[in-house]
Amino acid sequence: MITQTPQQIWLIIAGMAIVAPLVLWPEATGGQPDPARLSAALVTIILGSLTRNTLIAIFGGGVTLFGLLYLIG
Amino acid sequence: MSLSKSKTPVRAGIRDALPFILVVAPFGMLFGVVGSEAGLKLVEVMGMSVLVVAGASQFAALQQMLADTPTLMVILTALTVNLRMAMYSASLTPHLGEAPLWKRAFAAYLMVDQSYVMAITKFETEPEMTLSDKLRYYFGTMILITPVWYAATLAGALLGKAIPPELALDFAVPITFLAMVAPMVKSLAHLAAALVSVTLALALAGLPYALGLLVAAIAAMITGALVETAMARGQA
Repeated sequence: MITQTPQQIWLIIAGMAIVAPLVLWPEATGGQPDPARLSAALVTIILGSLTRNTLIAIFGGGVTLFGLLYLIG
Repeated sequence: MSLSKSKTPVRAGIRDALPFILVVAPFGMLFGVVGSEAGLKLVEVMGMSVLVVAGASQFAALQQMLADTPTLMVILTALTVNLRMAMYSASLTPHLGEAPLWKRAFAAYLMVDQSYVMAITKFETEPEMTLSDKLRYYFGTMILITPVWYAATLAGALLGKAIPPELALDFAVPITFLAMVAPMVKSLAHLAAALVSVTLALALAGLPYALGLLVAAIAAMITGALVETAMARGQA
């Protein structure tokens, strides 16, 4: 079994499985992939991996989302 | 995630939880909006948020109810989506297992992804914490999140369509999960598990009753275990 960090792998697995369809096929756009949402997800992942800081990742993702929604509508 | 250095555990919990309010609020509002637009009465929407306190699971149940799914299947779907809570509980048992039953029951009621992540991170970085400090910290993380969740659901249900779609409430969920998960991916086993989970969740998204989620989670867990075993063997 997973020995290093057994607890956290469940959050990774469940989180990714729940999130994947929401990112790729958001209901808000009628299930069509949306550049603003895809970019926001990507920025959140990159910032989260680089900084290991949840707060920075949330802010970065939020700014990207609203910025792009404003720019490209 | 980064943890605060506050002196009392309750305050540390409250502080660490603050950023999550940014995402819990829109998620709760979204549930209120969707629930009331789906024809649930105010008391029903609120009842769900107060009794279940589990965003993703509530949405899954709501979708099934709208599709006229038999009640038993609605319950099973909601349980599947929240199956991870059983794993969270198991992993917190070494830390909180000695607490009296009523405290553990209350902790279980308040268990959400956020409280779990904060608690396990804190308990692992500060193993010298006493049981009562651990409990104080755990409950501290939910002191603000819980009322915000109730209030946001209420606001969403009352405001309904008055909330502009530009607010993109729907995306609070993916951003929270990704922001919690990304910092946790620390090994090849984690990465492999995450990739299998995403791939299968997408490929099996059409399956009813959240079965795709269940299959994806099991396959991802096996993948993670296999990769880790292989890596350990490579090092030996």
